[in-house]
Amino acid sequence: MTIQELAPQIRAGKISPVELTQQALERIRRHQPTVNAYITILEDAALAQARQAEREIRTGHYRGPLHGIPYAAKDLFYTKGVATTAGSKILKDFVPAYDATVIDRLREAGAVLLGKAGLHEFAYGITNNNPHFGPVRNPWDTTRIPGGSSGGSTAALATDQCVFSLGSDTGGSVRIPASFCGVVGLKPTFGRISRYGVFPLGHTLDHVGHFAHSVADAATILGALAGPDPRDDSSASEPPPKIDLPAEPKLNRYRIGLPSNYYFDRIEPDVAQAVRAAVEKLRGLGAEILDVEIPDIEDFTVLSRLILLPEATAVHRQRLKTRRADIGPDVLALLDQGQFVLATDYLDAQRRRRQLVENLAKLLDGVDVIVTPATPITAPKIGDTTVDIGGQPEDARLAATRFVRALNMAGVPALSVPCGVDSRGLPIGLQIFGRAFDEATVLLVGHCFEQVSGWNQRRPQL
Amino acid sequence: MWKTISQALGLNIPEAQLEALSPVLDALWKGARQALDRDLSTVDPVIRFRPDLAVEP
Repeated sequence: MTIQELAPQIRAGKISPVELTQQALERIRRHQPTVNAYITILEDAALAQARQAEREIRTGHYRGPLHGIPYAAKDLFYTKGVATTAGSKILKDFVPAYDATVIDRLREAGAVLLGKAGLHEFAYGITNNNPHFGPVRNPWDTTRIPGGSSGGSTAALATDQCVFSLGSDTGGSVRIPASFCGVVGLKPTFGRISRYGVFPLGHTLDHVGHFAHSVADAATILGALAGPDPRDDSSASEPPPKIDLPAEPKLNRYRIGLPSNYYFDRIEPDVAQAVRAAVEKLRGLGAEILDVEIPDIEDFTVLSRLILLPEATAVHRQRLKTRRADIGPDVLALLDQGQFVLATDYLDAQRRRRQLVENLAKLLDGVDVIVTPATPITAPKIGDTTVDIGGQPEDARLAATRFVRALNMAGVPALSVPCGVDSRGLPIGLQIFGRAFDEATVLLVGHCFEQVSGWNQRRPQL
Repeated sequence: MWKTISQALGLNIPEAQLEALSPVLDALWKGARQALDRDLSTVDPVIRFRPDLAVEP
């Protein structure tokens, strides 16, 4: 069930937060051996939080729509007194002395933390094939990856092992697993949600994001998480957005951009077909569809790597020197690459980044949002390092991140919503992005699409 | 080239790992040259220095 369905019933006392939490824990017990979505399960603490929520609600102290709702947090959000591994063997015993701001805010909202979800080691990759905690498996086909790096959060949600979950997105780590697991994933504007107490990967690219079964739920969660945080220098001063989603799906006054370059060049045919069908749904809702060309987008995909590589290596420099043997081979290769990027190239990439931001702002003057495929492929098999697109082999990581990376550089809000399945029944995601701090429009378009498509209601049969 | 740089900087990357990285670094270098070969002297990098930064609590 969604938050929108659960919250009124919890408030009315018709659904018990304790029973809801027990059901989620039961599903975790059932699916953990197969899907491996969690690194740490907080059974006792979750039940205690649920009992407290139930007491508060029964005595008239209802905190809001997340009160009594069980959720999972990617295991890079600091949780006081609870191990926070960042998916690394090196940090397996790291127990933070404080909570991340988002964990604080969800506690204040009355949400119930079920556990810490699995991730790609140090959030630096898209497979979640974690050498230290085992692979997280895609619930639609357990021989495949869930996407990453927030794959535990999406695998848990897709199998109802939580009602919503938290992730982070540095080069697509919210939108890729949302696309591969068939759930809604939102990467809000850079600065919209505090990163205080979030284990870093790339300090100018990291965004906190979240996952839900519906866009309306994603909007509700954003309302609880967003807002300034004096403890985070990158936190924006904007207050949480006011999001008003219509009961009737209509997009009459909206102009939607569809890229005529790059995004349909190297792509699986099933993905292209599903996205084009989604665009027709949007047109059917009254939106005006306009061709747009995104200047130099291929450059920005390269430049975002040029920025991330040294930023991530700087985070892990000491571990790279002293703990090489304890880092998985794919992450180690990336950390090594970061040692070879020139400082002048890094800074020039940050200069061109300003041009990307300006280009997109100009484009988004003419349209309300732009839609693209979230990924050119559906979920690859676990262990596959290359994928075949139209007979051409491509590195799986570079393929999966091709359509999402540049938006971390731009910092604009981007949403992935389920928009179809391929011939194997694997989910496909539609990416919707918009103006900085205009999550409201991005979510509105996603919500209207969801109302007429219904792809978000599908669940894997495990 | 990468081997020489690695040795000069004392990066201690084992030879086999460095060999595997070399084509990736070649491609990245080529892509970077293509994307950065222009006059950017009048464009400010997006990173800003703020003298009023609060200290970490």
